[in-house]
Amino acid sequence: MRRRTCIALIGSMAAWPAAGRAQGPAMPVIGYLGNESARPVSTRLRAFREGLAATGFVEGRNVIIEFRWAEGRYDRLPALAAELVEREVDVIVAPGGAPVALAAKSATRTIPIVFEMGGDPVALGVVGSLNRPEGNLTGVSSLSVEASTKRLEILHEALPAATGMGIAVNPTSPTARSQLASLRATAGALGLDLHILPASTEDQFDAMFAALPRLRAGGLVFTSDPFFAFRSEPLAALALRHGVPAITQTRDFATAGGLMSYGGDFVQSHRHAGAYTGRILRGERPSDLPVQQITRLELLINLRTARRFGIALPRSLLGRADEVIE
Amino acid sequence: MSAPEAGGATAPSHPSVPSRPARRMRPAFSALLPSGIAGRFAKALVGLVTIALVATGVANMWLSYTRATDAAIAVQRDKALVAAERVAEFIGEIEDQIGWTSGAEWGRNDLEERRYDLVRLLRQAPAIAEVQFIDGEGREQLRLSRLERDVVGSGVDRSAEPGFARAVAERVWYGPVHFRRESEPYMTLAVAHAGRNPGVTAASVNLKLIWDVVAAIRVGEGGYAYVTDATGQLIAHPDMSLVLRGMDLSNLRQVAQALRAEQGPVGNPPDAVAGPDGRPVLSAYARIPSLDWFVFVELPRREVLASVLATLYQTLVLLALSILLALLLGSWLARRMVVPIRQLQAGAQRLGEGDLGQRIPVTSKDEIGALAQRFNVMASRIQEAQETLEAKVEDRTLDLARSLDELRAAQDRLIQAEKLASLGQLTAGIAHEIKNPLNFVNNFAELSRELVAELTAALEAAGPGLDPKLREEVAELAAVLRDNLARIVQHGRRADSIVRNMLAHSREGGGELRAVDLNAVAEEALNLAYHAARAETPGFNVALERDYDPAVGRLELYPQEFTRVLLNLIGNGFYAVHRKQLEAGSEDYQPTLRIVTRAVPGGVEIRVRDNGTGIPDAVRARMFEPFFTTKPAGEGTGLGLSLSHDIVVKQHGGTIQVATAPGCFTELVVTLPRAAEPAERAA
Amino acid sequence: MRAQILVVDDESDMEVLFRQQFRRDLRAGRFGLEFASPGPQALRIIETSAGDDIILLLSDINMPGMNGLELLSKTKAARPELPVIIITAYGDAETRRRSLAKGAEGLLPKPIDFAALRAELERRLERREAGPCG
Repeated sequence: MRRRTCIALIGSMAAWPAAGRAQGPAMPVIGYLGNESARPVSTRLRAFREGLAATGFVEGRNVIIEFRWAEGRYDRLPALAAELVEREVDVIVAPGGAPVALAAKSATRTIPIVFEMGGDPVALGVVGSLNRPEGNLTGVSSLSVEASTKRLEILHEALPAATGMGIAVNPTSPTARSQLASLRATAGALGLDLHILPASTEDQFDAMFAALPRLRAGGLVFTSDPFFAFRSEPLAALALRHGVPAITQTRDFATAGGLMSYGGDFVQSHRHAGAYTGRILRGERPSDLPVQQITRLELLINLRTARRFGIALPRSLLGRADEVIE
Repeated sequence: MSAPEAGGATAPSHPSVPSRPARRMRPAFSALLPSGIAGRFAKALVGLVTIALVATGVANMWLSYTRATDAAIAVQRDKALVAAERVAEFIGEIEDQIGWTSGAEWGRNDLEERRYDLVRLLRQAPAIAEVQFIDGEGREQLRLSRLERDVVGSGVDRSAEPGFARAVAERVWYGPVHFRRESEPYMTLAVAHAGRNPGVTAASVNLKLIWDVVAAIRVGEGGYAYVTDATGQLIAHPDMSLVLRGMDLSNLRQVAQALRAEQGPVGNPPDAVAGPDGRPVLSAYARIPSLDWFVFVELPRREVLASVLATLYQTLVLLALSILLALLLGSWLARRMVVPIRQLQAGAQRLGEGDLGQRIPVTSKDEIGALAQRFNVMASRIQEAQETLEAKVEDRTLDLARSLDELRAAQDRLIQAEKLASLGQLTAGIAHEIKNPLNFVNNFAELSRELVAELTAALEAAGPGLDPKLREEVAELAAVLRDNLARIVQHGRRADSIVRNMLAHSREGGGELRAVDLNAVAEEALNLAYHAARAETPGFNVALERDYDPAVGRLELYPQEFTRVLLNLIGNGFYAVHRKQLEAGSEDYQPTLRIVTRAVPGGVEIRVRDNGTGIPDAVRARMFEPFFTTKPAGEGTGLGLSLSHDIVVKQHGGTIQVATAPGCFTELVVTLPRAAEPAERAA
Repeated sequence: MRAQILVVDDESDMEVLFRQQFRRDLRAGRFGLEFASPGPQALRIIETSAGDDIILLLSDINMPGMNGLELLSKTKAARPELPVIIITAYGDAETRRRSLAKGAEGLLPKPIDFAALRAELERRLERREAGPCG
């Protein structure tokens, strides 16, 4: 009797490693829906992984991440979302803005979705309320959408002489209209003329910048939009080439040569998203996790660019800057 | 694994049979555990030790639990205080930073300057989402926001708002915590400026940033801290989502208690409380007085218990080990303790079985040793006693045997005496009865002789007138008659003599045992016999020699009977010497009879010696037989010696022996013991 | 009156013997011999006037009916002054004692020594002849 038990024990122990290897489906799978591609979002991805790790999940060790990249083709997002749903992932991460979140939301009502967006999830219809998101969605808002008015204000402060400002807007963005509305209000209060410059594809960028002098716009304010956010470098280069003082939401723009940036800390928001993803994998329900807002808005000023443009920035503005790039 | 079964029974591999190891262990266990008194000792020892250990273990655990709890609570209280301080610090810092803008001289600055200061404030205090400057009249002059548009010089009347009014009144006003968009907690912090007609700088603080402070508070491993406002609303928590959900913790016991301010600024609520997530925790809180907030520091009870559990496991393991040790030691000790008791028992058993030579080899100085000593002493005493007893028993047995012999002898004598008595009675009866007819026989015979003599005389007188032939015939007949009658008389006398002898020998009324002077008795008998012999036998002379030993003294005997014996012996002696004298007829022969008495060990010796005819062997063999006589018919009854023998041997317990040389001498030796057994007297 | 001697014995030969032994005295008429057997007859004689002349009673002991000792007692009760001599074959000390205790003058063993008896008789006759004061 004992001998038999012994053998059984040894046998089962020997079988474990093999069983482990054969246990593919046992590890949870995260479906990562990306609106661009891996490279541009590397920092964000890293932040996301950090957030995941904080909850104890490490890719490859106890979790698998399946990536679907739209590569800038936001119309592909729904199909990619559907793919992930078919893949039966345990959770879908939809960072990078409202379009991603909405695409994921339309693809599944059951698989938990962690979104990360700049806009107001409630206003955009992603969740019902911030503290009690009904349904299977929860996530992080980086406040950047609301920051667009502030961006206008800041650029106006930097260029007090300018009477007109260009507003770069991505017409396909769901938040475009609300942003424009608030921008208009602010502009009115500030006594500025706004020139709306739509751009939804990269080849429209150049024209956007080129139009500014003609429009007598002193500077260009970018609305909050992931499309713009992920193209900070080309935009910065264009801004430099055209000599346009511009302010976007991502710091990448300022670090790449753009004049200023004011927006939420994406690293933080992606980290939060990672943490939430981990918590959901651990079994918490999205409806129990309230939508987090990023507490930090950072203002970056590229002084080199300012000098190059011959802009003397007021003290108050400089005092406001969280980071000054020399 | 077909190991041989310990008990030798068949080992079927039946699932209901206990496993082999268990079965093998049972006999091993029972060999390990002692039985009997050792077992009792062992059980007592182990039981005691176990009880002690268990008691101390339980006490220990209880103490360690309370200690751990107390320690944890103490720590938590400290942490709560620290946390409260830190939170207060956090707010205080912001307050300070706001305060930079409220200096007295600040009011004199122009708006732009002030705007710059507020911009800097915004940068320095990331928690501030929005800041307002309200002038002395309560009109908003500046409003800077991170998200919203800055407003300069709006002049909005905010004098009624508590942010202004209260701040002016109390210099610093902490507004209630409210949740913007039901999501994030905000608080208004308004600091009034110094000086007359002070303005107020009011900042809208995003309390989410307290999260850093609260999350940084580490308590143990699973402990945490959280902050609630005065209504129990959760303000800060390591898990921000709880805050964002707008959790109201006022129904938690510890929160309720804190809110009721039952225990002052610092306290720990009752033990069994649950944290916000429902787990049982140990909770301590500290109040932030200025803000009227409460910081709760909680430690999962499990963690507190963990140390206690660790102690418990340790204690249990130690307990188990100790019990095992106690078991082993106890068994060994008990066995050792029991060894002397076992020795005692074995010794006692051996003693009980009769082996008295054994001694119990226990030499310990305690009660057991003492007991063993007693046992040994008892054993030696018993042994001695037994030996003495055996010796005594032997003696007694010997005595008893002797007594038995003596008793038998006495019994015989008694029987003999009785026999004699009855015989005596019988003979007496017969004798008396015979005497009656003898009376007639003799008397009539005698009478008849007289009458025949008268007849003869008458015949003589009638002489000549009678026919001579007739006269001759009658005379012849008369002579024959005379002759016959003479024979009748003779035989009648003989019969009478026999009867008299018989009567003399069987005297009724039994003798009594008396202490008499033997020598006197002997002398008396001698004289009696001598005179009787002299009277009976004319021409009888004998020389009497006496040798009396004064050491003989008094002796217990039956004087009448013994006298008869002496008379008999002396009489026989006389007869013998007389016969010899008659036969020998020589002048040289001097008949002599000698009586000697001697005291011998245990008794006396009487010798009657005569130098008469002696006794031939054939006679000697039969001399003591009743009715055996060498005397001619009519002279002796043949009862004398047999009766003497019986009297001496059976009545007195002595001996009678004869030494003789035919034709030379005869000596009869009578020995009597000192204490003749008294014959039972017939009632 | 002529002295009488009363002899009591259950054996009738005793009378023959006595009469033969004392034939001369009887013929001389010195005394008379009366025989009684058994005891009650003797008592009757003693107690009545027929026994007035009896100067001596000789009795055996072993007699059927009334034994000699009983007769002795009764005789002594009736006529205390009458001497009684017990004749018996049982000449042992106990009998003697009892007889004497009951008042017998003496004990005469059997076989009877008539010489002694005659001497005794002579004495009593002399006394009688001598009178009460002799």
